[in-house]
Amino acid sequence: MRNLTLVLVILCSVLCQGIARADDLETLEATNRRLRAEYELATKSQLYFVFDLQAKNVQFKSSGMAIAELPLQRVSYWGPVSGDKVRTVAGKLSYKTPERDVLKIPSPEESAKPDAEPKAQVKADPKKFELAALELSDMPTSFQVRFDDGLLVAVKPAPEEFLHRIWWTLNRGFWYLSRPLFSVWNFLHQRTYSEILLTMPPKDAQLLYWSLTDGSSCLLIN
Amino acid sequence: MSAIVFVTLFLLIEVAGCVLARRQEAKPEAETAPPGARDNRARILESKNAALRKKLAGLAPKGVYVVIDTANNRVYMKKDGQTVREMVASCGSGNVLEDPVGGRKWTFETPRGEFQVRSKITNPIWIKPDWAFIEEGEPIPEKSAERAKPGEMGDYALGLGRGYFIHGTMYKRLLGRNVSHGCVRLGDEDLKALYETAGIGTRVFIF
Repeated sequence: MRNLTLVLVILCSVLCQGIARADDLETLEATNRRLRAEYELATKSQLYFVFDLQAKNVQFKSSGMAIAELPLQRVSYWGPVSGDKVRTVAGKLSYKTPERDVLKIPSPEESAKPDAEPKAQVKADPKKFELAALELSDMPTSFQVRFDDGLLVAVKPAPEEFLHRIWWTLNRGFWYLSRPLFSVWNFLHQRTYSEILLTMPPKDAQLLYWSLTDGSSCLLIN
Repeated sequence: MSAIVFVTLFLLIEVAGCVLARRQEAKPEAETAPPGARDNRARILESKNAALRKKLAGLAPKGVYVVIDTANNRVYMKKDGQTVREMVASCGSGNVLEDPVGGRKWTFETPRGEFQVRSKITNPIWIKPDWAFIEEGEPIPEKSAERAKPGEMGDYALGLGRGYFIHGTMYKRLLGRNVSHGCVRLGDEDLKALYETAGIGTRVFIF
């Protein structure tokens, strides 16, 4: 009986080792593909982004070096996501897209026209000084990034207040409830639906929106 | 009755959606090799990955380099990965200027990516470009000498190429805000420190 137990234990350990080896090999191959993709990006002297979902951070990188790092508070997945290829940002979507100020200069003809009604002289209040500029605070904290392969990355701000926490919990519940509908809809259109939901501090979310531009190259580690 | 049908249908779709989401992407060729060959392959991959990591690390700058955060208007002078000086700057406003006559368009944005210090100038003279005259509603001068504006760029300028510079400013109270036309403006002390530390070829990373 004792011998039989010993044999069973050895058999189990050999079997588990085999499975672990296969997993290791798969991980090593995925890492190799990712490193090769990153090396190719790093040699182009351009800015690229690494969404490290294991370490829960987003790195802004150039020449293989992280020049900024944003922590992620929570990562949720929906659908299959492979992490060993370079993806390109195809677009960003938010409820309120920040818009650039267009400086309108009157043409010489317009400038030459005398004003029908002279404009009221407004005394500038130095305390209410407003810049006509696109700044970090103008960026949304909640947005979606669409990649060239159809992957969606939704970014939501981490809740800070009690009411916001309740809203955030309800929102997450709705997210999980609505994703299957998207999967079915996309399946009917012969597409695969994948989405990653990232929760991060609001200021970091704004910085990510600021930095990710159309055409930016990104890598995922998951 | 219709409510029951609706709920059942909804639940069915939910289950179907969950099943579809669980499907995995097609993985590259399944490993069918015997365990010995797998071990070999694993060893080869481990050494290849280590070599790739080393190659990647080798691309990073050695010594002094500069990182510019255009969103927070900060310039970091770094040495071997450590920040040696943090500076408040003014980066591009992101505004768009349209020429009412010629139809030309400019976007005042600080470019992002990797650059190098290509030139170092003391007492730089700003050669006022067309957009600056248009923005101020002034006629564009025909003589290039009329474009020269000494003193507007501060005591030093570090050229990054494509007409972009790190230079000084007369509007120091606006440091920390996005107000420039694409160049990176610094305060006098910071500019002097950067000018003295960064040599030609110093790498500049802008995000």
